[in-house]
Amino acid sequence: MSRTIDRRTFLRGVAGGAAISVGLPLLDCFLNDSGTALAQGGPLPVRFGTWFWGCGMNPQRWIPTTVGPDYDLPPELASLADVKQYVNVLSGMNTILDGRPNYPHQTGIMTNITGTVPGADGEVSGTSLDVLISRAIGGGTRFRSIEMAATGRPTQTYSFESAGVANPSAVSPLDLYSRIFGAGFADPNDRDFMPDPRLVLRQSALSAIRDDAARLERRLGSHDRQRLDQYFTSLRQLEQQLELSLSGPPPLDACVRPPEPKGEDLGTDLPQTAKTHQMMTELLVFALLCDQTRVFNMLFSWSLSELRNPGADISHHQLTHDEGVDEELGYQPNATFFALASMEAWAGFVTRLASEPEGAGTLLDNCLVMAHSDSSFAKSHDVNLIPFMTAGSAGGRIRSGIHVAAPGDPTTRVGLTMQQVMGLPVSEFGTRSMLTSQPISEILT
Amino acid sequence: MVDERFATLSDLDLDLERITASRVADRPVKMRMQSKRNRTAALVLLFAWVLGCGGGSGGSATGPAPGGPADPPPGASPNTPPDLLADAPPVSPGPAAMRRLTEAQYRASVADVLGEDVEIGGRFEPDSRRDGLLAVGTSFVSVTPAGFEQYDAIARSVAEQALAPERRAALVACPPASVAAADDACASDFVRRYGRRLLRRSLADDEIARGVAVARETATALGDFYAGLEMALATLLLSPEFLFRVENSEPDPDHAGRQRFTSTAMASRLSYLLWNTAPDEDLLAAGERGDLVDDALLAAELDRLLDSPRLEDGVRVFFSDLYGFDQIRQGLVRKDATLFPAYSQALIEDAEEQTLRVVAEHLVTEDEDYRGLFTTRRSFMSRALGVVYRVPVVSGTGFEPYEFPAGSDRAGVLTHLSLLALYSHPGRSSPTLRGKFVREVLLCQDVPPPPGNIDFSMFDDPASGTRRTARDRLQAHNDNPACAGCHGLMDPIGLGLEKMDSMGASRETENGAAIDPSGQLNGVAFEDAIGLGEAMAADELVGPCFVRSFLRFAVGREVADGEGELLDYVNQRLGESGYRMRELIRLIVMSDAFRSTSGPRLAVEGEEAS
Amino acid sequence: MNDPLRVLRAYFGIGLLLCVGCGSSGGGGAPSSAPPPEEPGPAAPAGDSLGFVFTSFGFDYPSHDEEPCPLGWNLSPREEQVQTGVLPPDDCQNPEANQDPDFLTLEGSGRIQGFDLDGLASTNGAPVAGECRHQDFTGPAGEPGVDYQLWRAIGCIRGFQRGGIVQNVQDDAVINGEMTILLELSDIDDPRNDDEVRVQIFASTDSPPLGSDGKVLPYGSLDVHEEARFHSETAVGRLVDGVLQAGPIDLLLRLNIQIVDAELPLHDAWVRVELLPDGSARGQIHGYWPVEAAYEVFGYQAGYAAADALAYTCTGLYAALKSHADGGFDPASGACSSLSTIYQFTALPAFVVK
Repeated sequence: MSRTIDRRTFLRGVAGGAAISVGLPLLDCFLNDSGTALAQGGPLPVRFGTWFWGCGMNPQRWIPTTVGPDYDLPPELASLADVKQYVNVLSGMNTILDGRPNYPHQTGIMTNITGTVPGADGEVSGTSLDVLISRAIGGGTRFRSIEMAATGRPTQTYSFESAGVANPSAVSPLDLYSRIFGAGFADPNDRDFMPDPRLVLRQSALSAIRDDAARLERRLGSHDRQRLDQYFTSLRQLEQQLELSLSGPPPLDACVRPPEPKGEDLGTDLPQTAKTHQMMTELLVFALLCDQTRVFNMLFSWSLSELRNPGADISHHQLTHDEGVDEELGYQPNATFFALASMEAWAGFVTRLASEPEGAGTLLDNCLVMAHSDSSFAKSHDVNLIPFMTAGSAGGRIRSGIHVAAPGDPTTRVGLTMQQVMGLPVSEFGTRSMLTSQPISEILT
Repeated sequence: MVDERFATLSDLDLDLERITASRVADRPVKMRMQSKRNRTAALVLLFAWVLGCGGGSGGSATGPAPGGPADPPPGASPNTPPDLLADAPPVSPGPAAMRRLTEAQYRASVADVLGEDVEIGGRFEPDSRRDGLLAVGTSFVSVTPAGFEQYDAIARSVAEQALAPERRAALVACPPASVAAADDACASDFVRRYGRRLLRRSLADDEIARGVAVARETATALGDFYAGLEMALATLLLSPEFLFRVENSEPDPDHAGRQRFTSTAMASRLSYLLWNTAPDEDLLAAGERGDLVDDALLAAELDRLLDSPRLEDGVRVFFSDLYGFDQIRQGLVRKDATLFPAYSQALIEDAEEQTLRVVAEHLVTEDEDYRGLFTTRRSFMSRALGVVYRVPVVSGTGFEPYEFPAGSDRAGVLTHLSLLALYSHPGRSSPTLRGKFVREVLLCQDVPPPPGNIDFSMFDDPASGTRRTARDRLQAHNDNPACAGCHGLMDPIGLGLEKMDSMGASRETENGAAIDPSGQLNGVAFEDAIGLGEAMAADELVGPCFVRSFLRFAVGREVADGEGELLDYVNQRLGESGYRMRELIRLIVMSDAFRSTSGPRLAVEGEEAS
Repeated sequence: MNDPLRVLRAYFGIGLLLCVGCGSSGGGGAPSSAPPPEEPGPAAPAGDSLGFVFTSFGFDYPSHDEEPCPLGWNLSPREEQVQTGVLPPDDCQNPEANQDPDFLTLEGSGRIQGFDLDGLASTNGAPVAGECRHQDFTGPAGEPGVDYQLWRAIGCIRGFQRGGIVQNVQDDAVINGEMTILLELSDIDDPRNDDEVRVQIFASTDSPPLGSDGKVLPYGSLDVHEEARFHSETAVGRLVDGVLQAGPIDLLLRLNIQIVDAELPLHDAWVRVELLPDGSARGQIHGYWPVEAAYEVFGYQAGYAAADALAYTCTGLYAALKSHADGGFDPASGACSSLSTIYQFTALPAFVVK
């Protein structure tokens, strides 16, 4: 594998094409004698994704009764049995409307991702969470984010650059494959590494602080000198992080180009959607291993879930409204069938990421995936008790296998937590009563 | 649901160190009492220790006296006489150490210097409480690697915003020769100006040169003058002299062998104490002129700061620190959702604001006696608070003034939701935690931690019915000499607040049994929470503890042995005039305890910076 | 409008004298139920005030000895398609374009607590002059004369039944801010028995305070709607053993529920409020709902989506509403334009801020 740095390319990058000379020391500090980049490479990337399913669940059959680690699995979470150690369940949070109407199947999802309750029907109430995160971490990869809809409909997406701009979904495995692994794909291990000149400059600036601080040290007593030593240790650690980043990306040993999928049927009958979802998950795994993107959005069904059984004329969404609550069972058996199927698909998604080795652990270890829906009990479009889950440990930044109950709190606590875990410098998220400055600290490391 | 075992355990009030561990962790046990009989004697001993054997008050202990002829009119601020402490006893001050900016100080400093619309996101390293105060903790903490990473991210974000195209004209006085290249002269002007404000002192020429070099290197490499300034600004924001308040001292020409803080250091000391932010241009200029080591010029600057509305910021921070309100903002005050559905983070944040507004109005706006905080019926309400206090709130948003009517069961800060909820368990009120707060924080007394060998069998499960109220359950302590001594210090105070539950809502019964809210404070019996507030206002330890706490807050360390007489002196003066905040600030700031030091603090063997 | 001078009779036999204009003193300016201490209301009527916020609100349900809808429920358009092979057209915006001869209404007898709004024990068989033909329900003990024609029109629609979507959505709406309703009783000298108590109903755009369990918390402060048309007239009534009955008044509620943004007017309405020992209240608002206003909600606005979810056709619903109208008698045409409607509610104490 070649990891050479082209000095001329770097100079062009640094100077933006203008003929500006760059002092040699700047280059020397990240090149070794033979002009190649340092071998070690930075840490594996941490990715953020969302996984959405429509029409919620039955709270009394979905929310675990115990909180903390090793939570119990009520009937509608039973499919998580083998993966619950990777999954956090975040329950009890509400969409607080402040008098705005609850636009069916829209208010909940829009507030989940933008932190703002929409003020009009059809309104996208802001930039979505995944875009906020991709703007911060998605810059270095070929795709800033990848959107997928297992339903076969490109307009079904919950990724919004702004109120007016939606990121369309890839709708077929073939479509997804050609986007990622088609003609434009290059093995990332073969690519030339171009260090960000700003990192070099930041290193240089940190050493200036070190010089000034050394003067300060002479004026301090022994107590404060100890404390300043700790400060220097911390500064040194940041310098080492920068050095790692300057030494190029880690070798993506697990990256291979997957075989091209065959042309496939698409559709919203459950077996077809499940199959599409499974194939897209497979392609996504390789897209992540090859560091083609660090942000993704998987839509299993949209908020007006069109999932249906083959041959049936009535969809999941219609069932949630039309079907009565079975008095003996206490829920709608036919609508609930699809909620269960959605949880099975989610469990399958988690299982797949958790089974893929990467570095010393698994791909899931280096991911943070937020699963969510637009409502709890969809029959009445209930936007309280919205179901949220996370999977993965985000490179060690988050604990997993925990049920956190936060009754009555705004759902924006989840969005704030996601941003903070992904390293965004934000201290609050949401507007009006949905404004929060309280991340879900129980799952933070 | 609350786990039954947990409920039973927590009722024993043995886990008080969960909330206040740092208050007691590193203190020796000051007393251990075996029976009720010698409690009084022990208390006397304890008070003697607290008060430095000064004997104390002498004067009337009747609480906040209505303004006599000597009192300043409310809100007005007479000038500080330069010889305010002419007859004060000599002081042997304590050691100095650098103090890390708190999150609030960091935010305020950046807003003051770079503009209020610069957003500061991210999670700061938590401040650390020591000897009961974050202000003391700031002189012990350092910066962890994770904290440094955060400071770095925040610094870059702040610098980027401050020098964004739409803002740079306001910040950068000189037009650069080219926006696409370095301009040392203009960068030098920028580094000199903002380095001085951020580091709270003028930079030496070689320091400026290093900042200019940083700017030049980046501007040249990226072909962008402002990117260079951005890097230089971010570097300043990471400097240890921005993140820490490094207060230099020098030999005091008037007192041979003593160190005094330099005039420049005094500017930061004054500003962060009174306004909780970096010194403004006038104060920094006064510091650099040498004014602030002169009695008269210091008094004049002090008066300017005391007359500013920003004084409220400093006073609010002091009380927030004293009361432990940082736990609220960190989301650590939780209540069992099944038992207390009305409780929420938004509610407790409003409750904190209510208390701080009452404090600010009482002490700053009205310039009233501190002891009146325990009896005042004046308050503020938001709609969320009105639900729990069960009072109407006209304003749809924000706070409005409210006065609890005569005959209400609420008066004084001890009956505020904030303190009641903070010093309770998640599922139950706690007379012990509430009493401990009063003893330790408001009376400056130590309560030893509970012994390790507790026999839990002596406490009944409340559900079984024989011990339905907290009073009944705590009676078990009185029956056991191993517990009675310490619980006797705390419980009789806290029992006065029992008609307010774990979240501070009013109640008449607990588990179906009527609540008796009577109790006693230092030998003074009272009937209920109103009586407790009156007893507090009249207690002779309350004022001196206020003074002691404020001195510790002001100097960021424990009170030094050689400062006891000064405290006695200040108490004597305030005892005559009423414990007014501005007067207390004057007496402390003008004293040698604030203005001088025994020298840099020495490292303690085995103690690492954290 | 019904003839305002008609003598009315309550369903349980207590004569209630209609008293037009008695409530006029209450308009505006009355103090909140517990005014802030600094500012006692200037024109406070004697006696105490009690404020409430609704915690549930929806149609009341008659009980029946026999199957009320012997032919079953109405079908949704899609169900009709399954049965007939033809999908009925979306005619919600033009409900008279088609006919739905199969639309089922509730025509049998039933018992329900309520008022005899028109003072007549009406039967389909013997309409009297000046009224539209309709069949009254009876009170719980068989008292004749309880008017509830709306239920006859919608009583065989699945989505309107107890526990159905409409009840869920309306109950949600009054607590999540989509349809906040405030109630104020004032001039109370004795909370159990008082000959003269004033009552007023207000829409509000505030949301009631909710606990972490999702339930309304008592003692919130809520503003009445800024527009005076959403403040009802003041009714004066008697409080007997903790039960107040007062009317008639005209009132206007506002709703902004999901896809429906509409007003809910009731004319010549009577209010029944039962004050419960725990401080809460429950009761009924019983008045005439104009056909066009009712259809605005379920036809023009909720439209085909609601027809599908609740199971009706817009054509059938509109025709049933019109044919069952019993209020707003027009002597010229002999037709009625509104339907007697019984809403039930529960409420918790609240501070009504004006």
